[in-house]
Amino acid sequence: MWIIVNDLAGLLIAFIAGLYALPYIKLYYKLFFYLIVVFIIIYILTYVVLLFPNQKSNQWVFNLYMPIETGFLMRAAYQYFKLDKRKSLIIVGYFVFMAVFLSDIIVRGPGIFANHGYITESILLVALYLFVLNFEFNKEFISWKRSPDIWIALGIVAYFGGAAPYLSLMHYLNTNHHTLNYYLYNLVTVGLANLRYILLAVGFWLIRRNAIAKTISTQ
Amino acid sequence: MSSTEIMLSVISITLMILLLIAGIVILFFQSGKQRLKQQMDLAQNKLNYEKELRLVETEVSEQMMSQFAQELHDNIGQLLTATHIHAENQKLRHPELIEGFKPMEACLAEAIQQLRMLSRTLNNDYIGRQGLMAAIGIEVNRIKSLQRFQLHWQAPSVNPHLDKNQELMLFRIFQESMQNSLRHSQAKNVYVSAYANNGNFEIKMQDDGRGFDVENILQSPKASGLRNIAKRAKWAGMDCSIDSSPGKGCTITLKKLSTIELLP
Repeated sequence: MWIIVNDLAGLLIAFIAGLYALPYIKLYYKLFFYLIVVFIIIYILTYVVLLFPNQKSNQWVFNLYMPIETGFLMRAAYQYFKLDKRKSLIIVGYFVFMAVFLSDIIVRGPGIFANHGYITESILLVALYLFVLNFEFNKEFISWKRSPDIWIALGIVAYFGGAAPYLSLMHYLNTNHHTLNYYLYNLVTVGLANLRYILLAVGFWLIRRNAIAKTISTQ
Repeated sequence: MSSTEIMLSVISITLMILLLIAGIVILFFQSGKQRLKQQMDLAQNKLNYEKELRLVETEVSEQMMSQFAQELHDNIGQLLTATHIHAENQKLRHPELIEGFKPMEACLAEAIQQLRMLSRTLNNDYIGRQGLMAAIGIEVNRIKSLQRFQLHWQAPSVNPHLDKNQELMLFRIFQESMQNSLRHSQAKNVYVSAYANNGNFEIKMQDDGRGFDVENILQSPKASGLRNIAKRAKWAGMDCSIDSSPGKGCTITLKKLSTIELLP
């Protein structure tokens, strides 16, 4: 039970904050909320598949989630940069990721975590959301503390940047150092995931707060 | 590699990446802040430049008007006075022509009077010395004497509490507005009222003329007068509203709010 709470604490906070902010949010932020919903389903699936006697690993579920997560986050970034002429590069980035991911799946099989694909995903998303941060810091008349985009992008950059070294070794560790793998998973991935979702929750809270403040000031 | 070594490697690489990301984010933040500061400095410089330019523009235009007023007073005024003296001399030499000279004398006296008033209202020194309300009073009398419309002037002992520059701008707006009424409005009545209370000041100029479509007129190249009114109001730091529609006359309102009221 404690493991589930530890795994899902940040996610649930973000989910509740997202629910509160949902009436005020535009498509860009909605994509992050939908991703939370998808991840909750995937998370349940990772436990459910292990209940089947012939299933020894649930890594294929993470492989299933990887292109969905990348797709959502890149689509959100595409939405963010919709007025930028270079936005088509995001689509190119997604194709690059899919090429690496699929070659990983074909070569190693779908049951092994596609860590090359994951590293590609991490590099692309870190670069993309660093651009978002740079763009936000250059905006006029907006305090960085009140910008939901900054908090959300910070969470994504910290998660994908920080979790990449561990996740790229995850399959190796799971095979050769099972206990260490479990420890590192909880320390690095879960820790950073909680940070990512708490920052997303802050972002949702700011969206709601800014929207209410705007409504009051225009009344 | 032992488990501890792997663990330490993974954790240290993770921390290094996180530190690198933090460094990049701080760099973005600093450069963004610097860029915004530069933009603000640039905007401030532009504002100062425009302010200077506006000041020079106003000074040049006011100087030209003062010069023009001086010329009117000294040259044309002197010529008219000389003509008047000449007529007086002719009357003394030919007493039988006194009756014949009367209409010409009346016209001359009127011309001298009009010229004197016009020269005063063009001269910004006079506005500065006598104050806005006195200058408007003179202009009202001058326009009344033209008998183009009924001019109703209401300003019960108003003290506008404006600085010299604001008074000058406001007076020029008043003149522009009256010129518009004279030339274009076909109005029968023009109402001018001023009101001041607790540091607030408002002046309203209203006519019952043919009116116009404000949006259309402001977009056309003809509306330099109206644009001047808006521009001068902005320079004087006053709120200006121009309300008009075809057949419904025109109302120009200028408001200066006290600092206390401007606070949220």
